[in-house]
Amino acid sequence: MICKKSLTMQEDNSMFEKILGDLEHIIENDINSRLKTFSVVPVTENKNKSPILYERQNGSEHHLGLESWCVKHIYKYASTELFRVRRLLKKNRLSVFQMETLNKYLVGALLINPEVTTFWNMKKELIEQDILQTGKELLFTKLVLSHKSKSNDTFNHRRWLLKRMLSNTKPECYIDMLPEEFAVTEFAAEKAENNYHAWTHRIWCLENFLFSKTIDYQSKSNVIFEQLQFSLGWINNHISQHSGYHYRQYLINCIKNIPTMNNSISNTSFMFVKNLLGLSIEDMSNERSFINKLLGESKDYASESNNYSNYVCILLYELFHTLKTLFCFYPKHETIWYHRKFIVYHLLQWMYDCYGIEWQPKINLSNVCEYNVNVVDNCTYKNVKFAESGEKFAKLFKFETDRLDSSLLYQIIVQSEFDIVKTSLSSACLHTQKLAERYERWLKNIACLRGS
Amino acid sequence: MAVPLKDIEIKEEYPKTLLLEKHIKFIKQYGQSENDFEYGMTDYLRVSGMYWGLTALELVDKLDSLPKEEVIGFIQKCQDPETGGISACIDHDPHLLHTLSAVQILCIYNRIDAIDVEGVIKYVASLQLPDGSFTGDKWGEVDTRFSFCAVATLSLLKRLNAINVDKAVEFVKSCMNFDGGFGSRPKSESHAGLIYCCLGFLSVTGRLDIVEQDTLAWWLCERQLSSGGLNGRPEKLPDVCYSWWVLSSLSIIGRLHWISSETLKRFILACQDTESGGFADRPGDIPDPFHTLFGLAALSLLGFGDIKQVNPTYCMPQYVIDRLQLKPQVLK
Repeated sequence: MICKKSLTMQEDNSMFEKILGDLEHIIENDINSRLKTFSVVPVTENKNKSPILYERQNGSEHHLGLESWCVKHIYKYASTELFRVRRLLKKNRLSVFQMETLNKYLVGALLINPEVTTFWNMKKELIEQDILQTGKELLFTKLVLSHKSKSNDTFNHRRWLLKRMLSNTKPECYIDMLPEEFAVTEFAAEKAENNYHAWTHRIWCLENFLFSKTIDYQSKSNVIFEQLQFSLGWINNHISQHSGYHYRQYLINCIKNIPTMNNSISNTSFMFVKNLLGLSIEDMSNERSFINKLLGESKDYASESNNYSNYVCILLYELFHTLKTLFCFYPKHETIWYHRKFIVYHLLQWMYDCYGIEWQPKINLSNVCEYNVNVVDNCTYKNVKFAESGEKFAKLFKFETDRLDSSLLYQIIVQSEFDIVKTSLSSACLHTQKLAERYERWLKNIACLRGS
Repeated sequence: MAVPLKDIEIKEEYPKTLLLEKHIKFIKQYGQSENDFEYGMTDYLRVSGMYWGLTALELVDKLDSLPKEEVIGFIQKCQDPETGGISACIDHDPHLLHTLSAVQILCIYNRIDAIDVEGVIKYVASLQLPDGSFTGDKWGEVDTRFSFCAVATLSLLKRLNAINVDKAVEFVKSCMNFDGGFGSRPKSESHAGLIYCCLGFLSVTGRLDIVEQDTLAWWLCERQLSSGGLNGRPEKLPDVCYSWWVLSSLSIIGRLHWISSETLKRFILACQDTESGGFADRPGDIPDPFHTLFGLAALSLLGFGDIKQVNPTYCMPQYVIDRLQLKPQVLK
């Protein structure tokens, strides 16, 4: 039974005021920001003592809890108080004193229910009025995320705060804001599987703090390679979470725009590729000779291919080293097959771009039938884009694709991909076989890989 | 065979037929416990909640069991006279998500005159940024969901010309990934819910030509698991709401026949609650109006006779879309 004693409404209200005030006070005054988590603790009975639990041990993290029996009452009370003044706050008709009393209701209501956009908006208005401070609010959103790690509104609010901070920060110092955001998103991603909001927040931070014009290439490349290292560790510990792979794919794409190669991962991948393809240092000494080795001698690769050797080395290292290791241990995981698709797709995409050939999936309906379909209308699929292109183009296309097919890079991709399919098809695990079949069909129909 | 497959097993005791009467009762009762704590906790999505329940009832031809005038009166009170936007609940702040839900409800009732239409148009147009994207409200958060909400709302009001459609398309296009899918912003992970929003957006604006039709359809088909259910991203559990988002997406790009509809039907039916009525995300979980609408809408796309035809772009009854003379684009 909730609230055993039949208190009068006034007594109730003063109790709620006290609880909300205490919560706000603890959060405001926690020393050295050690307060790391908030949670609702399952205690269904009011034992006539404070429902707030505040755990502090010397030198360790602090934790805040609220007994579950009071959650319903606290929320109802706080939200009623907030909606009483919602319009007045918006119209700027509250005194500073009145505005200062609002935060305790907002703290209580948002800790319990952070999905209420209107309450976050009220916080924003209080920040704009200088009643609340951006720094403390960042800590508050972190506390809320410890309780509701997937709360999109909380991440939204955090981004709003960060954007505000950017306007008071020198562009060259944006990069200093990254470590804290990395920590917050890692923590949130750790608490909730495939946490879409945490990972998109992390990418947003890199896009906004790292890729500003004033930050030099070396710093950018250091952060990206550091993150590649981090993501490998993350993936190894969270093998079935696709969001972690997506983050890694995002990082790999970033490398395209970073020409510098001076760090350990790029050196490792560089040496790895040299050995893998049996190239000499001379072959890899400059962009042109490297591309000529991979794609065949030519004077006229499309200009987009410039400065991409770093990117191509990373892709090859990922396919022949990282993925090889992952496949040894976890061939039953769809996520790894998807990562493989990303790598193969981008290697092929790079080749087609260099050759200046358009690359279109050619679906053969009979393959699709085998795959999943049980109702198929008998329309004959034809690739309109090819049909419209005319004979002259077709001939040129044939010549170029033949050249592409016989290049070193294409050959090793064909061999490795059909090999992995073959090996996996002979696996004893039916699920692995199924994933391998799917992948083979993807290779043939979407990636249009020719050969074997 | 130890398989770490993330899926569920369809047990023999799960329902196999559509429990229509129970669902009607479930939706009707859902909104009638205003003093309930849970009800107060969900105020922040009230108007969208009304859209889910009401559309579900209309799909099974029982809309008249809800108090129409009360619903319309409530929506009127949720419109902000200053901005023109509509909020989730009285006294809450206006937001694009609820503005669309409110407009959808009023279109179903054929009572769009009940609100200040010009106000809504002004509100939606005010949320477009120079890069073409839309924010959900005045505080600036960008998401492809909001791009869909904006064009769906305006097209229902026949005022798509109030915004820069070309710019809006450019932004959505910038959210496309190599797998043909879309995320919430440029460079975000492909996600079936957001793919639906982006395809819905392109369907409304007639720009499905920018879609990599078969690459995307391939990815969407791979969402179907052995249980027949669909998930929203690789290695996630199947969920009834993704049955709708993946299915409507496939339907918009003309590839509905690429998945097995029989096993999907079996999965959706298994998610019904035999006692209380309503659909849950997965068999045995607690049902809610959100999954109930998407369960019924998905069954409608699969050609279930007892359910009215649903429009895959708007998730509204097809006859309403016809009455408005709207022709959202679909691919063959």
